[in-house]
Amino acid sequence: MSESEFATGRPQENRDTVLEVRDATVTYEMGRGQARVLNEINLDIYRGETLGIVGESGSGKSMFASTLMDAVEEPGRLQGSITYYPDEGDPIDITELEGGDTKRLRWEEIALVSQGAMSSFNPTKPIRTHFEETLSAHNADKDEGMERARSIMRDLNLDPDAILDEYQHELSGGQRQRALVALGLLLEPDVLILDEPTAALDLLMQRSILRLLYTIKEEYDITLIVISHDLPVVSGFVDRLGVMYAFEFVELGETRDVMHEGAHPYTRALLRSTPNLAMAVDDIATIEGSSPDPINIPSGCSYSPRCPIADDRCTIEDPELIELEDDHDVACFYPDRARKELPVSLSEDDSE
Amino acid sequence: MGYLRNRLLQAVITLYSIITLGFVFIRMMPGSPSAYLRAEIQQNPGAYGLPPNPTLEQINDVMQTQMNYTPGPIWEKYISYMQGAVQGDFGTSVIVDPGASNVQLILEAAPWTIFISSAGLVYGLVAGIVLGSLMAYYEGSKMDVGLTVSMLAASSVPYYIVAILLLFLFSYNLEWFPTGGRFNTNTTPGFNYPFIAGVFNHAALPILSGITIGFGGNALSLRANSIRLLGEEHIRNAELRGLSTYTISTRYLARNAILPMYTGIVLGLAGLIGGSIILEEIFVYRGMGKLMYDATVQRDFPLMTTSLIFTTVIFVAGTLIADFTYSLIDPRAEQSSMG
Amino acid sequence: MGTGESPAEKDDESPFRSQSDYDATAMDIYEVVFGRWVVAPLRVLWSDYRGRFGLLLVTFYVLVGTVGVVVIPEPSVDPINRLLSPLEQPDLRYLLGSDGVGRGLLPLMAHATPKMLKMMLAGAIFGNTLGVVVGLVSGYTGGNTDKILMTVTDVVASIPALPLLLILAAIIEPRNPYLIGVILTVQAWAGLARGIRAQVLPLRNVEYVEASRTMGQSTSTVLMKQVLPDLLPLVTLRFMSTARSVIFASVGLYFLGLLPYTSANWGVVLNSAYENSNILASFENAHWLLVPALTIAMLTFGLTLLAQAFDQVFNPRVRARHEARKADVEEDIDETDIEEGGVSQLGFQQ
Repeated sequence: MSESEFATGRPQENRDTVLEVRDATVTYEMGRGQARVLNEINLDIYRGETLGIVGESGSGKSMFASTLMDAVEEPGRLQGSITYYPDEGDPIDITELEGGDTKRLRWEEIALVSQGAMSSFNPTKPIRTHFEETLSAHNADKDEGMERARSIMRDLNLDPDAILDEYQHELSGGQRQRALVALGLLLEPDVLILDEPTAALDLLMQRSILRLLYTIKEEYDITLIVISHDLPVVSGFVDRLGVMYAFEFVELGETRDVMHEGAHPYTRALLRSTPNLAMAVDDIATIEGSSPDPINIPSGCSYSPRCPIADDRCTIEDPELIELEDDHDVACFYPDRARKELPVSLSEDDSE
Repeated sequence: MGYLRNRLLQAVITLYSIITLGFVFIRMMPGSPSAYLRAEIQQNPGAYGLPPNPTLEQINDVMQTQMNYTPGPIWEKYISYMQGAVQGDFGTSVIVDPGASNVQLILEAAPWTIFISSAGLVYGLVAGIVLGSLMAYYEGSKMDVGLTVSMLAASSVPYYIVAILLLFLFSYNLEWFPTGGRFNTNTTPGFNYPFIAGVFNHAALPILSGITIGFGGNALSLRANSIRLLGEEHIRNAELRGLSTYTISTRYLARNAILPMYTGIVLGLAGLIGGSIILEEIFVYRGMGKLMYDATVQRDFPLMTTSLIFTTVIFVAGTLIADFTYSLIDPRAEQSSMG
Repeated sequence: MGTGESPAEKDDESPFRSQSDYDATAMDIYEVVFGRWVVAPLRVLWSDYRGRFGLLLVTFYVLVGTVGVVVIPEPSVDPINRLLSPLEQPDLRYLLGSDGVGRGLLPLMAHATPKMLKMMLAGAIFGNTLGVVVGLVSGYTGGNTDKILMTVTDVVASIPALPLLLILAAIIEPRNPYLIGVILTVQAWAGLARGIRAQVLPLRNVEYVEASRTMGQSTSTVLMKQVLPDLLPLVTLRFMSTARSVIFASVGLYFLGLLPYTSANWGVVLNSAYENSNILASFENAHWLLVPALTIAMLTFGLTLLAQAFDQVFNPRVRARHEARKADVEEDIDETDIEEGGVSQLGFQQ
C-alpha cells in the first residue's frame, strides 16, 4: 500500500494537544526482578491527527494503548502522568482519576478497539446487547444512542438491522472488526485507539477497513491512534509514525520523514525487512537477534546488542529521544551514520 | 434438521440395543432361567399361588405366565419378548415380588429415587457453582489452593463412604436424622405437614451424600472455565466499556462458565441414579436403587434387566432433552453441533 | 572350527545378527523415549505439590501391596483382642486396632491391597487399550467402520455403569481380580474411544501422517509410530481415572456383597462395620469404620491428584500458562503478539 493514499500531509500549523504523556512507566514486580514494560514515554498526541505506532511483537505497543486509558492490568503499576485536554474545560490527569471518573473517561472520551477483535464480544449475547449495556452503563439515552449506533454502522457499510441481532460467531472477520469500531464510536469519544485493527483480516479487507476508518475519522472528527506490527499497512494511512523498540519510542516523526529519512538503525532495519514489490527477494532482510527481556534491558541503548553501528558509547549511555529535525525525534547518537551506512532499499517510486 | 434426526436415530438404536441386551442377560442367568424359576416355585409354591407340592403342569402354567415363558426356538422367544417390550410389557418379577409387573414395581419406586437424585444434583450444582466462583475470584490465594485441594478430595472420596460416615455421625451418634426409611411410619401419606416433614427428614442424608457425587467436580470445572474466560478479550472489553462488576460477573462470567456444564448435568443425573443402588441400600431407602439391589441379591433377573433398561431410558431421554435444549440457551451450539 | 560352534558362527552373518544391531538402536530409542516420557514427566510431576503428594500416596499403596504383605502378618481371628482401638496394643497387627472378631485392621487392609492393585491394573489396561484401539481405528479409517464403531460406542456409553456392573457381576460371579478389573471397565472404554477419535480426526490430515501414508507405510505402522505418541497424554490421564473408577465400583460392589469374596477386602470390612449397628452407635469403635474408609479414600485421592498433576505435565497450554505465571506478566503484555509473532522474545526466551 502506498503511503500517500490517505495521509493528509503535514499537520496543521496550530497544533492542539489532546493527550500529553509524560514519563509514563509501567512496571511489574516479578519473582526474578522488576519488569519495565513501558519505559519513560514522553509523547504529545495532537487533536485530529492519525498517529501510527509500530514495533515488533512485545515492544510495548499494546501496553502503551492500555496506558492511554489508565487501564494497565493488575499487578502492573503506572507511573508518570497522562493529561487529557477535552474540547472544552480543564485538562484532566487521567492517572489521578478515580472510580466513576475513570469509567466516564474511558469510552466517553477515549475508546479502545482492542486487538482481540475476533473475540471482543460476549459469545452468548447478540451484538445489540453490547451497545445497549454500554449506553446504560454510561447513563446515556438508549433510543438516541441506538439511533447513533445505527448511523455509525451504516457509515461503516454494515446493515444495522442484520448485524445487531447477530451473535459474534455469525459475523465475518471484517464485520466483527467494524462492529467493534462502531461500539468504540458509540459514545462519541475524542480519541479512538485501534490496536492491530487489521491483524486477522485478509489483504483486501485490510485495505477496505483502513479506507473506512479514514472516512470515519474525517466525519466524526476524532483523533485516531493506530497500533500495528505491520509497518507498510500503517504507513499508508497515518500522519505521524512512532517506532517502538524495547518498551520505548526510538523514533517519532511525520510518516514521510520516518519512512524516507528514518534515522534510527532499528527503523531502518524495519524498513529493510519490509517486503515490497519493487524489491528483489534477496534484498529483504531479517533483523538479527531478538529484542530484550523486560527484566534485563541492556544498559546503554537497548538496541545496541543488535545494532550494526553500535560502539562503546552505545553500550554505556542511553540515548534520549531528541529532536533531530522539525517534528522528527530520534533516540540515537549516530543518526547521520545510520542514514549513510544502513540502506533501506525502499524504492523511490513508492514514495508519492 | 439432520442433526436432530441423527440424535433421534441414535437414541432409537441405543434403546433397541439395550432391550435386546436385556433379553440376552435373562438368557444368561446362571443355570437356565426356567430351571432357576422352577426351583424357586418348588421351594416356595405359596408365593406363586400354588398348593404345596404342585404338579408339573401347575408349575408349567405358572412359569408360562411368570416369565413370558414361550416354548419354542429362541428366536420366537426373542420376538415375543420384543413384542412385549414395544407395548411396555417387560414381564413380571419372579422372586422379589412374584407376579408383580416389573414396570409397575419400578414406577412405584422411581419417584423416590428421582426425588433424592435430582435434589442431590441441584444442590450439588449450586454448591459447585458458588465454590467454583469463589475459587476463580480469589485465584492463587490460600483460600483457592485450600478449596481446590478440598474439592479434589471431595470428588475423589467415594460417595458411599461419605454416606456411611454421615449415617454414623448424624443418625447413630447425634441422632439428628433417622437411620433408614422413606417417611415416618406413624404418619399418613398425603399432603400434610408431619408426613412431608418426615419425607424430608428421611431424605436429608441421602441427598447430602448425593451432593458429594458431583459438587467437587462441578466446582473445579467452574473454576477452570471462569479462569479461562477471565483471560478473554471480551471481559476486558466489557471492563473498558465501563460495565459494572455485577454485570460482568453475571452476564459475562457466570453465564458463560456455567453453559459448558449444562450437558454434563444429564451425566450427573445418570450417575446419581446409578449411585442410588448403593446409597439406598445404606440408608434403607426403598427406591429404584434398593429395588435393583434386592433384584440382584435375589437373582430376580427379569426385574434386574428391566431396571437396567429403565435407567437407560432415563439417561437417553435426558441426553436428548439436553441436546435439543442446549441450542436454545447457547447460540453457538447450533452452529457447532449442526455442522 | 568345531561343528558345535558353526550355528553360532552362522548366526553372526545371518540377518538375525543384524537384527540384534537394530536392537541396540532400539535400546537407544527406548532410552530417549524413557527419558522423555518417564523421567521428564516425573520431574514435572514432582515439582507440583499435587503430583508429589499423589505420587507418594500411590507409591505407598504399591509398597504395602508388595513389601507390606510380607512384613505384616495375615489377618486371623482372635476372640481375646476384639475391638481394640488403634495403638491400644503394642503389636504391629493391632496398630490400627481390630474388628469385631479380633482381626487386626492393618493386616486386613494390607492383605487386601494386592488384589485391589491387580484389579486396578487389569481394569485400567483393558479399558484403555480397548478405548484406544476403537478410537484409533474409528478416527483413522473413517467411513462405515467409523460409523458402526461410534454407534456401538454411543450405545455402550449410554448404559448407566453401576446397574450394568451389578448384572454382569451376578451373571459371571467373578473371583479372579484381573477378571473383576476387566468387567468393571467393560463400559469405561467408551468415553476414551470418543476422546481418542476426536483427537485422531484432525491428525489424519497432518502432513507427516499423510506423508507416511503416501510413502506406503501400513496403517498400523502409521498409527503406532506417528499418531499414538500424540495421544499419550489423554491415555495417561484416563489410566488414572479408570483405575480410580475400578476402586469406586469394586469396593462398592464388595460393600453390597455382590461380588463373591474369599479373603478380606476393604469393602467387605466396611460392610461388616456398617452391619454392626451397635458399633455405629458409639464413637468408641469408630476406627472399624474409619480405617477402611480412609484406606479407600486416600488411594482414590492419590490417583485424583496424580491425574491432575499429569494434566499439568501434558497440557502444553496449561504448562505454558504455568510458566507464564511464573514469569508473571509476559502474557499480559502482548498476548496476541506472542501468538501471532511466533518467535517473539517474550513468550519464548525463558
